[in-house]
Amino acid sequence: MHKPKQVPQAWQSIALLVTGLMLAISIFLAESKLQQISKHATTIDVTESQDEVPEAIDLTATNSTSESQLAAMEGNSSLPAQISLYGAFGSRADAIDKAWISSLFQQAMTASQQGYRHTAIAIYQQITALKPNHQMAAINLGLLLKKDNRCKEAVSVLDHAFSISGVARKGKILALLGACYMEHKQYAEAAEYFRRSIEYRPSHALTWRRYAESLWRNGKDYGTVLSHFDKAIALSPSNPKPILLKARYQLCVLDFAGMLATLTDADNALNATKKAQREYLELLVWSYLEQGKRNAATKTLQKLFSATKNETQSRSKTVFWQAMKHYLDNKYQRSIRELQKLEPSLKNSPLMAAEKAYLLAKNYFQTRKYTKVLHVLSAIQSNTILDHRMELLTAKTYASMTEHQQALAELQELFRQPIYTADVAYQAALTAAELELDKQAGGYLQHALASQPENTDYQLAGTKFEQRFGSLSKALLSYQTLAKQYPNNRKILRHWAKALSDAHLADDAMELYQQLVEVNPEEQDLYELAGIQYLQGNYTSAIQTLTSLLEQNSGHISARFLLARSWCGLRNQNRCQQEAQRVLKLDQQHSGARQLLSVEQSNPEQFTM
Amino acid sequence: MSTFGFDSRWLSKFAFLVRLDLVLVVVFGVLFYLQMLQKPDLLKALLPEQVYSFSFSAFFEPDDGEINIHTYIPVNNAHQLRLHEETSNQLAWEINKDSTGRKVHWSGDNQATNVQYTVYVATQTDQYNIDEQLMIPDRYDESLESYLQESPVIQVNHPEIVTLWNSIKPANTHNTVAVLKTIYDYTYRQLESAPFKGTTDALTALRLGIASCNGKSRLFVALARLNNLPARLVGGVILDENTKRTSHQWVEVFIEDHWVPFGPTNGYFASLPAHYLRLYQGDQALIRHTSNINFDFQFDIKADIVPPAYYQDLTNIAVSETNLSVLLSDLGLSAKTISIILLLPACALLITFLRNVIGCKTFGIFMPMLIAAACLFSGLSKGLLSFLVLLSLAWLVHLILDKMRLLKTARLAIVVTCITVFFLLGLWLFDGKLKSEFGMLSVFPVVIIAFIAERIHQITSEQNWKECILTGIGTLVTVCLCYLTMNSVLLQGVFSLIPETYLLVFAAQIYIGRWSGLRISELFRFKSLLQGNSNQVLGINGRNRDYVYLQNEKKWLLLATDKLATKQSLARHQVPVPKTIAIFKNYSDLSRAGDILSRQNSMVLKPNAGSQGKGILVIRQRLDSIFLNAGGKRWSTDQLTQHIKEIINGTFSQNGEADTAYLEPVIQQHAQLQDIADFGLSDIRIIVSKGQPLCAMLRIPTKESSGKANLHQGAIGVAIDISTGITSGAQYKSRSVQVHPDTNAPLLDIQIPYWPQIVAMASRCYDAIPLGYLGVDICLDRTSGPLVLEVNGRPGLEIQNVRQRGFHEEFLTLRTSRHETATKAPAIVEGVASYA
Repeated sequence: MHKPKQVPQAWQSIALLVTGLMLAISIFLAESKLQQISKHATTIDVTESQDEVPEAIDLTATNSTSESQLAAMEGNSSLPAQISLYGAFGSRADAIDKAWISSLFQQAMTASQQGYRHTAIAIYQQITALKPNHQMAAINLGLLLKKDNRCKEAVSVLDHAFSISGVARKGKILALLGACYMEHKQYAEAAEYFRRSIEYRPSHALTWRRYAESLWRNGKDYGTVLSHFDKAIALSPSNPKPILLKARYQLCVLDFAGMLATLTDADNALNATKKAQREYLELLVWSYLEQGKRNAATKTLQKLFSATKNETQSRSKTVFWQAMKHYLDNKYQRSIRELQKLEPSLKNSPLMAAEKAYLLAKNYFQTRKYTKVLHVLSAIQSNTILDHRMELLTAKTYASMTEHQQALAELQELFRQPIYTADVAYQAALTAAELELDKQAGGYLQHALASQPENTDYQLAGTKFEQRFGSLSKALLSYQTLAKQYPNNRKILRHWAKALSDAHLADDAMELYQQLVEVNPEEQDLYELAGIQYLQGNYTSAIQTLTSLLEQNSGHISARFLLARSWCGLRNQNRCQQEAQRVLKLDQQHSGARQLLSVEQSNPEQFTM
Repeated sequence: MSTFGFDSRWLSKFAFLVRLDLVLVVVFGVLFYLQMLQKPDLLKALLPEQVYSFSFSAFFEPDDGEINIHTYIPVNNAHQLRLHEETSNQLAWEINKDSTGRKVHWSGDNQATNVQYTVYVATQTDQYNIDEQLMIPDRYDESLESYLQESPVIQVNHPEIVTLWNSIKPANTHNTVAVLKTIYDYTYRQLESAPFKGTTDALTALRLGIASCNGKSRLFVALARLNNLPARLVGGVILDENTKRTSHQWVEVFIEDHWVPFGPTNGYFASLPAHYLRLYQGDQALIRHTSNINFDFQFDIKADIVPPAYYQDLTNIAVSETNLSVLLSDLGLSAKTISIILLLPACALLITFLRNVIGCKTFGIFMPMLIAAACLFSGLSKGLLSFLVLLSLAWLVHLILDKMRLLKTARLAIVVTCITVFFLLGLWLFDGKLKSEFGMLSVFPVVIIAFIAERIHQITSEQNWKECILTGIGTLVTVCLCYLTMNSVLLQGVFSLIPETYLLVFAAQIYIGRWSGLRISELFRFKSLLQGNSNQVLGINGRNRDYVYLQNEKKWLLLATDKLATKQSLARHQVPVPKTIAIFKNYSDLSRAGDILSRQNSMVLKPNAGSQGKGILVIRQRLDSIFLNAGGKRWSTDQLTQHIKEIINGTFSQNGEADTAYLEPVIQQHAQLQDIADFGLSDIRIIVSKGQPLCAMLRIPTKESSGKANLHQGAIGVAIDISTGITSGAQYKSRSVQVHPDTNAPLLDIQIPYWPQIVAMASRCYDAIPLGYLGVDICLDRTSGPLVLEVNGRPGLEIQNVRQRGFHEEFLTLRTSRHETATKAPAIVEGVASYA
């Protein structure tokens, strides 16, 4: 009988194995699929709140104290006669009785409120030794130690208080720690504590302000510091302190326009108190002054004097602002003399001393005594408030001394600081241009324009660079564009006219100067117009223009000399000589006038420009 | 014998068992079909559920007075369902409910330092569709008045908030959706998010332009109330697997009898995702506690996928009333325990498949399943790591105890004790840091480990490292697969809702149990034999099912393990066996031990129930009263007597019970075999089927096998032609060899002395011990000739590799031509008779 062919065993085994594996894989895949489409599938959030659980203290706690009570703690160190020390150091140390602890706490509070700080400290120390978890005792102890200038001890106490306290108090403790570090000028640590404090008390404006200040003093970048000041202001818009501090910060970091905006936007808050008003006006004066708005500065100074008329303030301040008045009135020598009166009395007020020195240096700068400027500035001790303005003035002084290399070095160093760099970049651009470093100049100017694209000075500088380093025709087009954009900007028109004149487009230049003098016949514009008219041989017009100028300023030597030449041009020898004589009266050494007279006397035809 | 491998007697008696597996499959099919007819959505119900374990733990220092702690705990509503909750008892507690939510309040003045609340919740995503035409009502019921009011932190009518609204309001400020979308857009998109930990009121959030969830929510509520929309804060926790301390807040706005949720922090408009757990409503503090107790807390959240049937309430589909998960859950069993119970049969099937089809070796047949069950509580990696650590410890203890030569039971008990103590020590040292559950089943491994360690110790003491490693790997793999099986939510769901699936499991187990094919591991083991006709090769399955179970009765198998009884039976049937000099059954026999020993110059002392050569002492010579063993060690009479005593005590017996010691003379190996290898006793293994010798091999020890004739330990197997007694091929470590690797003696074409006698002896062994499938081990003594050392009821299959040929079909051929065997037998028997 034919035997049926058997499947080899090996294949049977493999077939069974494969069947088992397939079954297992099917189950696995089905399982995975099912888990994916599980009925209650969830999605994962991209962000999640990190906030802590808000805890509330049970009403059985009797040792809480209000914020106002804490704030009211002031201290001196003399022992009170009427407070019994028995309860504080007494013989009941053995029993940690809750009522007794409560009583001790009350005693400590009373002692602190009455000014017996050391007694209060001792009692709190006893409480925390007996009951280490006593939150308020630990916090109050830390606060008093800080007030007692024992910050090192305060820090360890407050660290412990933080570990045992609930969410509600952690913010305050961190703020106290930050304050300790601020006092010790450890600004980085202070900033970190303030940052953490804000996480617990985001609505606490004071902490935001102190945080901003610590960031400032720690050299944080301008934008960050400013945003934190803004938050402090937003949280308490009627509080002048953060506004004034922000303005002072902006002054320090050379954002004078920003400073002005800060002060003018908040003038309601800043006029809330006399003190605030005074500081506001002082800062406003500086703001106008630094932006070259002397008239506004003068007016503000007047307001300051009116506001402080009936106030008692220090003699130094009075003298200082008087000196400022003289400075604004261009009476630099008088200003200097006033400031020199202040010398011995400012040793205990470094800020005042620095401001005085700075103003003194500005006076010297105006009177072109550059060496004295540098001497005064170098003698000022390092002061965060004024450092950067001093550096800027130093750079400007070097520039005025035509030591452009040195000036540029100063500006480059300043540029690396955490300040508002637009103005510095602008100054650096101008200085680099003087040194024919066109690329560097262009780079700095780009930076300035990036910060303030609407700043006409910057835009004008860009056009001037184009004229100087690039193409004159392009520069002229730029001037035209600028003039269209800012039709009332005389500076732009003036520069444009100058450029046209340099390009030998005298008619166009003349038209612009005429436009300028029609609006406001300023000396320089009249003089430039007259010059063009003279060169075009339009002596009559030149004479008319110069006559207008001299009516404003009869002592204008150049204008009078040009007038003399214009008369010469009209062959009116008498008037020519007359004017030349007047020139010599104003300036006996005027070679041009002398030459004019000698030529006229010999051969009027031989005179040339 | 049918091709299905069973005797016709069985067929007649149990005809219905012919294909029981098929019957079961058919029954399953019918039942399943009927169930599907009744419940067409049954398969949908297999989708697993996502549930969360949420735990709140509070830590504090005891105070002098009473401590009070309150916290909100979940309520049941459309969004979430509380499945199971428990509260710790360190402090007295009570649960209350009010308009803000459900709270647990602990209180007490004892020295407790922590409390805990745990809840198991199932949640779902809520999505609301608001009618675009819906207008904001002018009036509401009095009960909603409070949700329109201003508060110190929700400054509804503050000029800055009013100004803000005026700057962002939509064209139609009466349209509900338009207004809410505007508010939502502002608070979600324009307000930056910040990780503030403290409370932020609405005005601060507006002024800062940045806020955390509570600030954004408060501003949202303020703007909603400004527009006459009742709104309230809602608080809870986001359920992400984590240990954390953060909570979350969002908003609900009352629209047409619904409190519709909005999440301005994470961007949920009119929806609440499933992983948000709602705890309270209103501007509440989540936790309140007594002050000055150094209070701390944390949330622990775990997500889990559970089978759909586990929580009946969750299933919206009407499923089978038969729900095994619910049945077991009602008994108070935990989810993990239920899954173990439900899936044990599946694991057993898996193990059967791994052993019988793949050939995976493990320590203990079903022990890996128990280990996997324990790992279910602790986690697989933690469980396996602790298992390995404890196993290593147990093995070390075995190693130490081995030197003390303790009895087996006591030895195992000591190991169990050591492991338990170590386990407790570990718990004590890592108190609180171990976040593992230890269910009842975690205890079992302590016992399991003791047994496994003993097995490992046994293997390693034989220096069979390869087997140890392979078995270890097999165990590990099996544990992991069993763990995955027990963790399978799909299978849990299937067995819960479709219990007739167990019929399939039965059917599969029967099918595999009936299968006598080669295991996958045997495909590799016998790979050189499979190139021809693989059906020739006999595997373990075939050997056990088709031969051992059918032909070897249990009583004869038991007899074969008793060496003395075997010798006696063989001797009665004139089968030469080594002489027995003396037998020591109990202590009273020891009195003559000294006298007997003193009369021997050489001897072999053996335990009757020993294995693997344990307890065997070979004395080679005597010098006065000192005996020297094979290794040169000196033994006094007293020491030998002591050794006998230990044998009697059962120190070397397989089952640990009292044993019998006996003395035999040292076998002086035949010169021919001695020349091949003189450092051990070679033997001849003959496979006998129903008295008919089938095949034979010579097993020669090597240095590697430490003088033992054990192929697995490195001895050489030499095939012998059954009819001629001439060696034809030799295998050493799966390689063909022609000379002995240690002595270079040739191995092939050797005529085994006394071959006809040997064959006759082997045949007669069947008469003495009628095992239908028998392995006879014979040695050659130079004086006495061939002697049967022992018989084996389950002889190994390696002889096939040695012969380079399977013998499966030879068995079949043999059975069909028994009449030929009968005519050959007398010649062999005569040869034996003449020898005797």
